[in-house]
Amino acid sequence: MNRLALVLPLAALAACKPCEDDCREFIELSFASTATDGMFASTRYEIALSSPNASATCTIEVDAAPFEDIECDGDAVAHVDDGSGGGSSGTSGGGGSSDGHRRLVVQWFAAPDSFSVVARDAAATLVLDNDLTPAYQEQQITACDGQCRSFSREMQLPG
Amino acid sequence: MTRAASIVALLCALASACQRPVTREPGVERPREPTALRPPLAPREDTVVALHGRTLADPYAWLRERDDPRTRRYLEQENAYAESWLRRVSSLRARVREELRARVIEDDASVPVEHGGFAYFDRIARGQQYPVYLRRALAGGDEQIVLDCNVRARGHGHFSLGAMTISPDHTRLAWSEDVSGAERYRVLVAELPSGTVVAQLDGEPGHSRDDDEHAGAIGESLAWAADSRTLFFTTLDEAHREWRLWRVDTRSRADATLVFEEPDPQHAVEVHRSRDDRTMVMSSNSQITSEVRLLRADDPTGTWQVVEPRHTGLEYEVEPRGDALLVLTNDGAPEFMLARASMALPGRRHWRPWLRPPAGGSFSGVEAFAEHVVVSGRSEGLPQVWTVDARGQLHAIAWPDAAYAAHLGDTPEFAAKRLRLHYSSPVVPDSVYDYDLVEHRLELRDRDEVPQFDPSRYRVLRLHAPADDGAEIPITVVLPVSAAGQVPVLLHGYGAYGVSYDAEFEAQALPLLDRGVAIAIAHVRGGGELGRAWYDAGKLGHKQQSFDDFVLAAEFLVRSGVAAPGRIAIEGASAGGLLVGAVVTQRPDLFRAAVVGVPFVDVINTMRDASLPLTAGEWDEWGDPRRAADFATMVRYSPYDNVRAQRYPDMLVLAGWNDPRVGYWEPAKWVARLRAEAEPGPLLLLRTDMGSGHGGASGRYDALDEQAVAAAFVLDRLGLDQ
Repeated sequence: MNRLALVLPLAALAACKPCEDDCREFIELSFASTATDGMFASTRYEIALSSPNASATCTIEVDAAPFEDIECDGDAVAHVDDGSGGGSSGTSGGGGSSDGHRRLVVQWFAAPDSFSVVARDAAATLVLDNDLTPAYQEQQITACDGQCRSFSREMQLPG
Repeated sequence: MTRAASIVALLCALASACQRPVTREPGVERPREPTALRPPLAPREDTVVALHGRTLADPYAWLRERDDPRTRRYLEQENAYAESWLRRVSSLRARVREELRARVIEDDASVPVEHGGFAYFDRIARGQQYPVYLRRALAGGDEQIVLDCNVRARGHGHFSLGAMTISPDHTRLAWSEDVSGAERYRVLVAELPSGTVVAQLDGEPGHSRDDDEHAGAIGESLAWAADSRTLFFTTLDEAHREWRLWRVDTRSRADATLVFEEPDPQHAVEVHRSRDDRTMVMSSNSQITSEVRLLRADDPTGTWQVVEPRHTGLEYEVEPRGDALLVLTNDGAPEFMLARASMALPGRRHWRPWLRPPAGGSFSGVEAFAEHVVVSGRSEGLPQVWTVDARGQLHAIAWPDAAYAAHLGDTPEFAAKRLRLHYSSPVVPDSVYDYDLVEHRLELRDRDEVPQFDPSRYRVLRLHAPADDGAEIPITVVLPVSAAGQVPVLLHGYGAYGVSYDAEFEAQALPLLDRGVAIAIAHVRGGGELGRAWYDAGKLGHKQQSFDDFVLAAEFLVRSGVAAPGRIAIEGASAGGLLVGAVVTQRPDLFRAAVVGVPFVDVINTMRDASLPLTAGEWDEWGDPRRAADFATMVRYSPYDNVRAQRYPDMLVLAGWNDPRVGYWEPAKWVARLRAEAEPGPLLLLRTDMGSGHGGASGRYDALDEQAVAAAFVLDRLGLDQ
């Protein structure tokens, strides 16, 4: 097994979204399985993100077609990264992970000081309940002519 | 005190020069060896050690005798031999040093910490080796010098602060300082703001500052009682163990009074005052067992109360919070938990379990504030800080880097609503954050602006090497973005004491990275990266696991396409020097070169001699060779006892003449034996700093040369000698 691609983009390289998104502030959470083979314990997860001023909920089928947008409630979008190195998601500016392990990726277009992330499996069982304060990376994006805050973080769901 | 303190020293040892292409194929042709001097050969004696039916030759035991003129002569010959080789790379060494110097932040000041109506901070200026500590009244007024370490260091080749503590009324400063590297301190008390020294303690009553003995000398721990005149301090036994706690009235000329003496040679004493200023806390801990005593801070002559008597294997620490007591313990919680008790009923049977770490996490520290509780620990192999809200919910501070170092800073006020945090990663220089405990918001207060550092030139990978037993060994790798294909690698490791070797920003790594060398850290078992179980899996009878993990990590770096075969250099110091010493013995074919700092390599002889510093206190870490089972484990990996007639990697071995943690003789004996018994050919250098201890040079500019030497050695051996 090769886990070479369990690689997160560098903070310094974690730029903002491309300019077509007008440098919107966002949080990107990537959910991997805790299992060594990368398999998730459930076929579906509901991931809810909330702060005092905003919230979003995404329901993600683990076997969804890779890199296809999944609509969410609230100002968020999700997709499944199949670990093939394809796609153009993420804040790294190109490509997903390439270790062969699936990840559930949620991009939430909000930048709260702190927020909660709650995940439930297909049986509605609570599998993750975290309160987080992100350390945003502040960057000047010349092409967007403005400043943008972004935060990306990989988290784990039971395998 | 453990051998752990040298991770910083270990990290302070890398660098390099220009950008010319590799001129030879490493692994095929070895670089030229010096011809100016012949390597010294130490005399052999027929000393043997008989243990458990085995007879171990110890032909260089005489090197332990500091007063034997042959000892100093041999070390000086080795130093001369090392210097003769280093002259070959003098140009590279000088270039690297200049690159390192160019990245020094010449004028710098820390973010102030508010305490007792003052803002405390430190500042260092161009040309200064050491910081100056200052304060300014929040109400206004001029800066006041609290302590100028440059003044204190004047006339000494070495200077290090042990502890520095302000009296509760902020009128006096007490500090402990070491001017030899031997970690035997003296305590001074000065009035503020005048800086007039009003008291000096050189040891226990009757001890002279000129005594070259550990026994009676002063340890590192210091704490003021609430009256701002009574000072608690510790002293050492002959094995350099902090074993006695003393109390002295700094406004009288009376001798200090002995408060407590710890008879168990495996336990060491530490003292501090709680953040709420109400309680003195004295801990007497071994590697696996704790015992804490409490005293009202306003009654310094009173009777100390035991929280819970020691039970082997029960670890706990306490954090007073008014009338309540927070207890961090492994009692029924292998990865530790937080319990609550009261100051009136502090014992174990009154501990009420409160918080446990999230799955995959562990707790390692707790800080109490008037309205907040902060817990530190690990999560998913990385440092984690949680705050606890009113519902008892953990609230995590989330960092985005793949690998990083984050730890609590100084937040001395009990009423604080903002928490100081320090953060860095291989591509993010040292950063200071304040965390709003009420609003759950991070504010970046300062980030070092390192000259000539462009983070976009480097990237960080977090890999996991699968072991046969199902474990996955984390590896942090920093690469130049321009790296294409397999590259030379400098792989670090530590793996002891449950210490986590986190990926910090290291300016001294940049000269290597800029010449195409990847820097990696193997987070092997024996360290604490993945919690207590990770630590336990690499200690005592499982120590070999640390070495196996390191070898696995090196092999994985090649297999996964990161490292070029035959172009892996390795580095470790202190207990990490044991790691390196063991793996070059067991797998010499895998490594091209090694930098081995103050290495703990004479394992059997050190651990069977309880008169040596650290020995008794670390029987629970390494084992006691006087026990047959422990001996059987240790003798299989002890590098000195396993020197073989084989081809070792090229090695630069570093030692400190005044080192109390790893005696200078350990690396000296190992090198002497390697010269006599290993296959001749590889380069072997021993460099003993005759004026320092475990951490090497203490001044910031002096340290640069040590870093340049190590980097020049690594680069030259990897064939990157331009």
